[in-house]
Amino acid sequence: MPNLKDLKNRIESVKSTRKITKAMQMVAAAKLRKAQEAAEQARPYAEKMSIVIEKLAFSTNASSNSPLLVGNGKDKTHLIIVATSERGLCGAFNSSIVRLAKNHINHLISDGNHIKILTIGKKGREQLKRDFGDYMIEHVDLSEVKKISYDNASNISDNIISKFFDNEFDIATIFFNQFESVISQIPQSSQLIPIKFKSDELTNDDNISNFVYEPDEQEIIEDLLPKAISTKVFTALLENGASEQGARMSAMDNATRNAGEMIDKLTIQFNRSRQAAITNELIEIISGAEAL
Amino acid sequence: MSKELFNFELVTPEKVIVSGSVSSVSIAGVEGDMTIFANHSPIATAIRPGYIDINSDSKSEKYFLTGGFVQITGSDVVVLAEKASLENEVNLEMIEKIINRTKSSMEKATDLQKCVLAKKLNDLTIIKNQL
Repeated sequence: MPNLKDLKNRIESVKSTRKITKAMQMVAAAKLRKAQEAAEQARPYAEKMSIVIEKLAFSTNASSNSPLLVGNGKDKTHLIIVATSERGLCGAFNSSIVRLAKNHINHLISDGNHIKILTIGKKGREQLKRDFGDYMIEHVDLSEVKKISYDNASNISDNIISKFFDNEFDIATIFFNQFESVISQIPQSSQLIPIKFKSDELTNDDNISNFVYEPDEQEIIEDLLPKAISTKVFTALLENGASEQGARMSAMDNATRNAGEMIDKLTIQFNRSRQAAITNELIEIISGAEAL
Repeated sequence: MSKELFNFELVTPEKVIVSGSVSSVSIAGVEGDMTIFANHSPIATAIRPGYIDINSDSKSEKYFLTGGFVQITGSDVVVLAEKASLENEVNLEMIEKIINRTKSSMEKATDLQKCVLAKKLNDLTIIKNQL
Protein backbone atom coordinates (compact mmCIF):
# COMPACT_ATOMS: atom_id res chain seq x y z
CA MET A 1 0.00 0.00 0.00
CA PRO A 2 1.45 3.34 -1.05
CA ASN A 3 2.06 5.74 1.77
CA LEU A 4 0.34 9.07 2.19
CA LYS A 5 3.18 11.14 0.85
CA ASP A 6 3.30 9.17 -2.41
CA LEU A 7 -0.44 9.45 -2.90
CA LYS A 8 -0.34 13.16 -2.30
CA ASN A 9 2.39 13.58 -4.89
CA ARG A 10 0.47 11.55 -7.42
CA ILE A 11 -2.67 13.56 -6.92
CA GLU A 12 -0.69 16.74 -7.42
CA SER A 13 0.89 15.44 -10.59
CA VAL A 14 -2.41 14.31 -12.09
CA LYS A 15 -3.86 17.69 -11.19
CA SER A 16 -1.17 19.50 -13.10
CA THR A 17 -1.64 17.15 -16.05
CA ARG A 18 -5.31 18.01 -16.00
CA LYS A 19 -4.46 21.69 -16.05
CA ILE A 20 -2.29 21.18 -19.11
CA THR A 21 -4.84 19.12 -21.01
CA LYS A 22 -7.56 21.60 -20.11
CA ALA A 23 -5.45 24.45 -21.42
CA MET A 24 -4.64 22.54 -24.60
CA GLN A 25 -8.29 21.82 -25.12
CA MET A 26 -9.13 25.49 -24.89
CA VAL A 27 -6.30 26.48 -27.20
CA ALA A 28 -7.43 23.83 -29.69
CA ALA A 29 -10.99 25.13 -29.49
CA ALA A 30 -9.84 28.63 -30.35
CA LYS A 31 -7.62 27.39 -33.16
CA LEU A 32 -10.39 25.16 -34.45
CA ARG A 33 -12.65 28.14 -34.91
CA LYS A 34 -9.98 29.90 -36.94
CA ALA A 35 -9.17 26.82 -38.97
CA GLN A 36 -12.83 26.24 -39.72
CA GLU A 37 -13.20 29.82 -40.81
CA ALA A 38 -10.23 29.50 -43.12
CA ALA A 39 -11.66 26.32 -44.63
CA GLU A 40 -15.01 28.01 -45.02
CA GLN A 41 -13.54 31.01 -46.80
CA ALA A 42 -11.55 28.86 -49.16
CA ARG A 43 -14.60 26.93 -50.29
CA PRO A 44 -16.04 29.36 -52.87
CA TYR A 45 -12.80 29.47 -54.85
CA ALA A 46 -12.44 25.70 -54.86
CA GLU A 47 -16.03 25.21 -55.94
CA LYS A 48 -15.90 27.78 -58.71
CA MET A 49 -12.56 26.51 -59.90
CA SER A 50 -13.79 22.96 -60.22
CA ILE A 51 -16.92 24.09 -62.07
CA VAL A 52 -14.85 26.08 -64.55
CA ILE A 53 -12.33 23.30 -65.10
CA GLU A 54 -15.06 20.73 -65.50
CA LYS A 55 -16.75 22.79 -68.15
CA LEU A 56 -13.50 23.40 -69.94
CA ALA A 57 -12.47 19.79 -69.72
CA PHE A 58 -15.66 18.66 -71.37
CA SER A 59 -15.64 21.31 -74.04
CA THR A 60 -12.01 20.93 -75.10
CA ASN A 61 -11.22 18.32 -77.64
CA ALA A 62 -10.34 15.12 -75.82
CA SER A 63 -7.42 14.32 -78.10
CA SER A 64 -5.54 17.49 -77.29
CA ASN A 65 -6.05 17.40 -73.56
CA SER A 66 -3.28 18.24 -71.17
CA PRO A 67 -1.50 15.35 -69.43
CA LEU A 68 -2.51 16.86 -66.11
CA LEU A 69 -6.09 16.16 -67.09
CA VAL A 70 -5.90 12.82 -68.84
CA GLY A 71 -2.68 11.41 -67.41
CA ASN A 72 0.40 10.33 -69.28
CA GLY A 73 -1.09 7.04 -70.37
CA LYS A 74 0.63 4.96 -67.72
CA ASP A 75 -0.48 3.94 -64.26
CA LYS A 76 2.45 2.00 -62.85
CA THR A 77 4.12 4.53 -60.59
CA HIS A 78 2.04 6.09 -57.88
CA LEU A 79 2.93 9.11 -55.83
CA ILE A 80 1.26 8.97 -52.45
CA ILE A 81 1.06 12.28 -50.64
CA VAL A 82 0.30 11.88 -46.98
CA ALA A 83 -0.73 15.05 -45.18
CA THR A 84 -0.59 14.82 -41.40
CA SER A 85 0.04 17.14 -38.50
CA GLU A 86 3.29 18.49 -37.14
CA ARG A 87 2.32 17.92 -33.54
CA GLY A 88 0.99 15.00 -31.61
CA LEU A 89 -1.58 14.78 -28.81
CA CYS A 90 -4.48 14.78 -31.21
CA GLY A 91 -5.93 11.36 -30.70
CA ALA A 92 -6.22 9.06 -33.67
CA PHE A 93 -5.93 11.92 -36.16
CA ASN A 94 -2.59 10.91 -37.66
CA SER A 95 -3.01 7.16 -37.27
CA SER A 96 -6.25 7.16 -39.18
CA ILE A 97 -4.71 8.91 -42.18
CA VAL A 98 -1.66 6.71 -42.06
CA ARG A 99 -3.80 3.59 -41.80
CA LEU A 100 -5.78 4.52 -44.88
CA ALA A 101 -2.61 5.38 -46.78
CA LYS A 102 -0.94 2.13 -45.71
CA ASN A 103 -3.88 0.07 -46.90
CA HIS A 104 -3.81 1.87 -50.21
CA ILE A 105 -0.05 1.42 -50.57
CA ASN A 106 -0.15 -2.28 -49.71
CA HIS A 107 -2.94 -2.74 -52.17
CA LEU A 108 -0.97 -1.00 -54.91
CA ILE A 109 2.21 -2.92 -54.15
CA SER A 110 0.41 -6.25 -54.32
CA ASP A 111 -0.86 -5.20 -57.73
CA GLY A 112 2.72 -4.73 -58.84
CA ASN A 113 2.85 -0.94 -58.88
CA HIS A 114 5.77 1.25 -57.94
CA ILE A 115 5.28 3.56 -55.01
CA LYS A 116 6.75 6.89 -54.09
CA ILE A 117 5.76 8.69 -50.94
CA LEU A 118 5.80 12.37 -50.19
CA THR A 119 4.92 13.32 -46.65
CA ILE A 120 3.60 16.59 -45.35
CA GLY A 121 3.85 16.89 -41.59
CA LYS A 122 6.25 15.21 -39.21
CA LYS A 123 3.87 12.76 -37.59
CA GLY A 124 2.93 10.92 -40.73
CA ARG A 125 6.54 10.58 -41.78
CA GLU A 126 7.46 9.03 -38.45
CA GLN A 127 4.69 6.47 -38.71
CA LEU A 128 5.33 5.58 -42.33
CA LYS A 129 9.10 5.39 -42.00
CA ARG A 130 8.94 2.07 -40.21
CA ASP A 131 7.23 0.21 -43.02
CA PHE A 132 7.88 2.22 -46.14
CA GLY A 133 11.10 4.09 -45.43
CA ASP A 134 12.58 3.03 -48.76
CA TYR A 135 9.78 4.56 -50.77
CA MET A 136 9.91 8.01 -49.25
CA ILE A 137 11.24 10.58 -51.64
CA GLU A 138 10.49 13.86 -49.99
CA HIS A 139 9.17 15.57 -46.91
CA VAL A 140 7.48 18.93 -46.63
CA ASP A 141 8.04 20.61 -43.31
CA LEU A 142 5.28 22.96 -42.26
CA SER A 143 6.26 23.19 -38.60
CA GLU A 144 7.26 26.83 -38.97
CA VAL A 145 3.99 27.73 -40.62
CA LYS A 146 1.42 29.16 -38.24
CA LYS A 147 -1.37 29.72 -40.68
CA ILE A 148 -1.44 27.73 -43.87
CA SER A 149 -1.50 30.04 -46.85
CA TYR A 150 -2.18 29.38 -50.48
CA ASP A 151 1.51 29.88 -51.17
CA ASN A 152 2.36 26.83 -49.08
CA ALA A 153 -0.07 24.77 -51.10
CA SER A 154 1.08 26.07 -54.45
CA ASN A 155 4.72 25.40 -53.56
CA ILE A 156 3.81 21.81 -52.83
CA SER A 157 1.76 21.42 -55.97
CA ASP A 158 4.39 23.10 -58.18
CA ASN A 159 6.86 20.59 -56.86
CA ILE A 160 4.48 17.71 -57.57
CA ILE A 161 3.70 18.95 -61.06
CA SER A 162 7.36 19.35 -61.99
CA LYS A 163 7.98 15.82 -60.77
CA PHE A 164 5.12 14.67 -62.95
CA PHE A 165 6.64 16.26 -66.03
CA ASP A 166 9.98 14.68 -65.15
CA ASN A 167 8.17 11.35 -65.43
CA GLU A 168 8.82 10.50 -61.83
CA PHE A 169 5.30 9.18 -61.36
CA ASP A 170 2.07 8.62 -63.26
CA ILE A 171 -0.66 9.07 -60.69
CA ALA A 172 -0.69 11.25 -57.60
CA THR A 173 -3.07 10.82 -54.71
CA ILE A 174 -3.27 12.89 -51.57
CA PHE A 175 -4.42 11.54 -48.20
CA PHE A 176 -5.90 13.80 -45.57
CA ASN A 177 -8.68 14.07 -43.01
CA GLN A 178 -11.97 15.62 -44.01
CA PHE A 179 -13.42 17.67 -41.19
CA GLU A 180 -16.95 16.59 -40.33
CA SER A 181 -17.33 17.66 -36.73
CA VAL A 182 -15.28 17.90 -33.58
CA ILE A 183 -15.80 14.23 -32.87
CA SER A 184 -15.60 12.94 -36.40
CA GLN A 185 -12.87 13.39 -38.98
CA ILE A 186 -12.98 11.17 -41.99
CA PRO A 187 -9.69 10.10 -43.57
CA GLN A 188 -9.94 10.52 -47.31
CA SER A 189 -7.98 10.23 -50.47
CA SER A 190 -8.25 12.45 -53.48
CA GLN A 191 -6.53 12.02 -56.81
CA LEU A 192 -4.49 15.03 -57.89
CA ILE A 193 -2.92 13.94 -61.16
CA PRO A 194 -4.63 13.25 -63.46
CA ILE A 195 -7.12 15.55 -61.84
CA LYS A 196 -10.48 14.08 -60.97
CA PHE A 197 -13.77 15.70 -60.20
CA LYS A 198 -16.66 14.69 -58.07
CA SER A 199 -19.12 14.34 -60.90
CA ASP A 200 -17.76 12.18 -63.65
CA GLU A 201 -20.77 12.31 -65.90
CA LEU A 202 -21.04 14.82 -68.67
CA THR A 203 -23.06 17.88 -67.85
CA ASN A 204 -24.17 19.07 -71.19
CA ASP A 205 -27.25 20.91 -70.12
CA ASP A 206 -26.03 24.42 -69.48
CA ASN A 207 -24.73 27.08 -71.75
CA ILE A 208 -21.18 25.84 -72.21
CA SER A 209 -21.29 26.27 -75.92
CA ASN A 210 -22.44 29.86 -75.60
CA PHE A 211 -19.20 30.86 -74.01
CA VAL A 212 -16.61 32.76 -75.88
CA TYR A 213 -13.18 31.82 -74.64
CA GLU A 214 -10.23 34.16 -74.78
CA PRO A 215 -7.64 33.08 -75.79
CA ASP A 216 -8.74 29.51 -76.61
CA GLU A 217 -9.89 26.73 -74.33
CA GLN A 218 -6.63 24.87 -74.59
CA GLU A 219 -4.53 27.76 -73.39
CA ILE A 220 -6.91 28.60 -70.57
CA ILE A 221 -6.96 25.06 -69.33
CA GLU A 222 -3.15 24.87 -69.41
CA ASP A 223 -3.14 27.96 -67.25
CA LEU A 224 -5.85 26.79 -64.90
CA LEU A 225 -4.94 23.14 -64.32
CA PRO A 226 -1.91 23.80 -62.12
CA LYS A 227 -4.04 26.25 -60.16
CA ALA A 228 -6.78 23.68 -59.78
CA ILE A 229 -4.26 21.22 -58.39
CA SER A 230 -2.89 23.83 -55.99
CA THR A 231 -6.43 24.51 -54.91
CA LYS A 232 -7.00 20.83 -54.21
CA VAL A 233 -3.85 20.65 -52.12
CA PHE A 234 -4.85 23.83 -50.32
CA THR A 235 -8.31 22.47 -49.55
CA ALA A 236 -6.78 19.26 -48.25
CA LEU A 237 -4.38 21.15 -46.02
CA LEU A 238 -7.13 23.36 -44.63
CA GLU A 239 -9.44 20.44 -43.97
CA ASN A 240 -6.54 18.73 -42.28
CA GLY A 241 -5.87 21.81 -40.17
CA ALA A 242 -9.45 21.98 -38.96
CA SER A 243 -9.54 18.22 -38.38
CA GLU A 244 -6.32 18.32 -36.39
CA GLN A 245 -7.65 20.95 -34.02
CA GLY A 246 -10.98 19.15 -33.74
CA ALA A 247 -9.27 15.86 -32.99
CA ARG A 248 -6.99 17.50 -30.47
CA MET A 249 -9.90 19.21 -28.80
CA SER A 250 -11.83 16.01 -28.27
CA ALA A 251 -8.71 14.07 -27.29
CA MET A 252 -7.83 16.69 -24.71
CA ASP A 253 -11.40 16.80 -23.49
CA ASN A 254 -11.22 13.07 -22.89
CA ALA A 255 -7.86 13.39 -21.20
CA THR A 256 -9.18 16.11 -18.92
CA ARG A 257 -12.14 13.97 -17.96
CA ASN A 258 -9.95 10.93 -17.34
CA ALA A 259 -7.62 12.99 -15.20
CA GLY A 260 -10.62 14.16 -13.17
CA GLU A 261 -11.74 10.58 -12.61
CA MET A 262 -8.25 9.57 -11.62
CA ILE A 263 -8.04 12.41 -9.13
CA ASP A 264 -11.33 11.32 -7.56
CA LYS A 265 -10.11 7.76 -7.21
CA LEU A 266 -6.76 8.79 -5.80
CA THR A 267 -8.42 11.18 -3.37
CA ILE A 268 -10.64 8.40 -2.04
CA GLN A 269 -7.61 6.18 -1.68
CA PHE A 270 -5.74 8.97 0.03
CA ASN A 271 -8.58 9.60 2.48
CA ARG A 272 -8.93 5.93 3.24
CA SER A 273 -5.22 5.55 3.92
CA ARG A 274 -5.25 8.58 6.13
CA GLN A 275 -8.23 7.26 8.07
CA ALA A 276 -6.57 3.89 8.37
CA ALA A 277 -3.47 5.54 9.77
CA ILE A 278 -5.53 7.53 12.27
CA THR A 279 -7.47 4.44 13.34
CA ASN A 280 -4.21 2.60 13.74
CA GLU A 281 -2.78 5.32 15.94
CA LEU A 282 -5.95 5.40 18.03
CA ILE A 283 -5.83 1.65 18.54
CA GLU A 284 -2.22 1.95 19.60
CA ILE A 285 -3.06 4.71 22.09
CA ILE A 286 -6.04 2.85 23.51
CA SER A 287 -4.20 -0.42 23.84
CA GLY A 288 -1.29 1.48 25.40
CA ALA A 289 -3.67 3.07 27.91
CA GLU A 290 -5.28 -0.29 28.66
CA ALA A 291 -1.92 -1.87 29.32
CA LEU A 292 -1.20 0.59 32.09
CA MET B 1 -23.92 55.91 -68.69
CA SER B 2 -26.39 53.37 -67.49
CA LYS B 3 -26.53 52.67 -63.81
CA GLU B 4 -27.63 49.09 -64.15
CA LEU B 5 -25.95 46.85 -61.60
CA PHE B 6 -24.75 43.28 -61.78
CA ASN B 7 -23.39 40.73 -59.32
CA PHE B 8 -19.67 40.68 -59.06
CA GLU B 9 -17.37 38.43 -57.08
CA LEU B 10 -13.63 38.56 -56.65
CA VAL B 11 -12.54 35.27 -55.16
CA THR B 12 -9.08 34.15 -54.07
CA PRO B 13 -8.16 30.76 -52.62
CA GLU B 14 -7.99 32.27 -49.18
CA LYS B 15 -11.22 34.19 -49.17
CA VAL B 16 -13.91 36.05 -51.06
CA ILE B 17 -12.56 39.58 -51.37
CA VAL B 18 -15.41 41.39 -53.06
CA SER B 19 -18.96 40.21 -53.39
CA GLY B 20 -21.84 42.45 -54.28
CA SER B 21 -23.56 44.61 -56.86
CA VAL B 22 -21.37 46.84 -58.95
CA SER B 23 -21.89 49.03 -61.97
CA SER B 24 -18.70 48.33 -63.90
CA VAL B 25 -15.49 46.34 -63.69
CA SER B 26 -12.32 46.91 -65.69
CA ILE B 27 -10.11 43.92 -66.24
CA ALA B 28 -6.76 43.31 -67.89
CA GLY B 29 -7.65 40.33 -70.02
CA VAL B 30 -4.99 38.39 -71.89
CA GLU B 31 -6.42 39.56 -75.20
CA GLY B 32 -6.68 43.14 -74.08
CA ASP B 33 -8.23 45.30 -71.42
CA MET B 34 -11.97 45.33 -71.11
CA THR B 35 -14.62 46.99 -69.06
CA ILE B 36 -17.67 45.00 -68.17
CA PHE B 37 -21.09 46.50 -67.69
CA ALA B 38 -24.35 44.78 -66.91
CA ASN B 39 -25.72 42.35 -69.50
CA HIS B 40 -22.37 41.56 -70.98
CA SER B 41 -22.37 38.60 -73.32
CA PRO B 42 -21.10 35.31 -71.84
CA ILE B 43 -17.36 35.11 -72.04
CA ALA B 44 -14.56 33.43 -70.18
CA THR B 45 -11.06 34.75 -70.35
CA ALA B 46 -7.77 34.49 -68.59
CA ILE B 47 -6.47 37.58 -66.85
CA ARG B 48 -2.93 38.81 -67.25
CA PRO B 49 -1.13 40.27 -64.26
CA GLY B 50 -2.47 43.76 -63.77
CA TYR B 51 -5.01 45.92 -62.07
CA ILE B 52 -8.72 45.44 -61.76
CA ASP B 53 -11.04 48.39 -61.23
CA ILE B 54 -14.31 47.78 -59.49
CA ASN B 55 -16.83 50.60 -59.59
CA SER B 56 -20.10 50.67 -57.76
CA ASP B 57 -22.40 53.60 -57.08
CA SER B 58 -20.76 54.74 -53.92
CA LYS B 59 -17.13 53.76 -54.31
CA SER B 60 -14.48 52.36 -56.54
CA GLU B 61 -11.77 49.92 -55.61
CA LYS B 62 -8.61 48.91 -57.35
CA TYR B 63 -6.79 45.63 -56.82
CA PHE B 64 -3.66 44.14 -58.25
CA LEU B 65 -4.07 40.58 -59.53
CA THR B 66 -1.19 38.27 -60.34
CA GLY B 67 -3.31 36.55 -62.91
CA GLY B 68 -6.48 34.60 -62.90
CA PHE B 69 -9.62 33.92 -64.74
CA VAL B 70 -12.90 35.71 -65.27
CA GLN B 71 -16.18 34.13 -66.16
CA ILE B 72 -19.09 36.24 -67.27
CA THR B 73 -22.50 34.66 -67.44
CA GLY B 74 -25.73 36.53 -67.99
CA SER B 75 -26.10 38.03 -64.55
CA ASP B 76 -22.89 37.18 -62.72
CA VAL B 77 -19.27 38.06 -63.12
CA VAL B 78 -16.82 35.94 -61.21
CA VAL B 79 -13.11 36.61 -61.06
CA LEU B 80 -10.90 33.82 -59.78
CA ALA B 81 -7.51 35.21 -58.83
CA GLU B 82 -4.62 33.48 -57.17
CA LYS B 83 -3.69 36.59 -55.30
CA ALA B 84 -5.33 39.96 -54.98
CA SER B 85 -3.75 42.88 -53.19
CA LEU B 86 -4.99 46.40 -52.78
CA GLU B 87 -3.32 48.88 -55.06
CA ASN B 88 -1.40 50.57 -52.27
CA GLU B 89 0.01 47.25 -51.06
CA VAL B 90 1.83 46.63 -54.30
CA ASN B 91 5.58 47.16 -54.11
CA LEU B 92 8.68 46.34 -56.06
CA GLU B 93 9.74 43.55 -53.76
CA MET B 94 6.45 41.76 -54.16
CA ILE B 95 6.50 41.96 -57.94
CA GLU B 96 10.08 40.73 -58.07
CA LYS B 97 9.17 37.77 -55.92
CA ILE B 98 6.43 36.82 -58.34
CA ILE B 99 8.74 37.29 -61.31
CA ASN B 100 11.33 34.99 -59.77
CA ARG B 101 8.72 32.38 -59.10
CA THR B 102 7.40 32.55 -62.61
CA LYS B 103 10.92 32.15 -63.95
CA SER B 104 11.58 29.10 -61.85
CA SER B 105 8.34 27.42 -62.85
CA MET B 106 9.17 28.11 -66.48
CA GLU B 107 12.19 25.86 -66.36
CA LYS B 108 10.14 22.72 -66.14
CA ALA B 109 7.05 23.69 -68.07
CA THR B 110 5.74 22.22 -71.27
CA ASP B 111 5.92 24.28 -74.44
CA LEU B 112 2.37 25.46 -74.24
CA GLN B 113 2.79 26.42 -70.59
CA LYS B 114 6.02 28.20 -71.40
CA CYS B 115 4.13 30.32 -73.87
CA VAL B 116 1.60 31.30 -71.18
CA LEU B 117 4.32 31.95 -68.63
CA ALA B 118 6.41 34.04 -70.98
CA LYS B 119 3.47 36.35 -71.57
CA LYS B 120 2.92 36.59 -67.86
CA LEU B 121 6.55 37.43 -67.28
CA ASN B 122 6.38 40.16 -69.85
CA ASP B 123 3.33 41.73 -68.20
CA LEU B 124 4.95 41.57 -64.80
CA THR B 125 8.05 43.29 -66.06
CA ILE B 126 5.98 46.10 -67.50
CA ILE B 127 4.21 46.56 -64.18
CA LYS B 128 7.51 46.49 -62.36
CA ASN B 129 8.89 49.22 -64.57
CA GLN B 130 5.83 51.33 -63.96
CA LEU B 131 6.31 51.32 -60.22
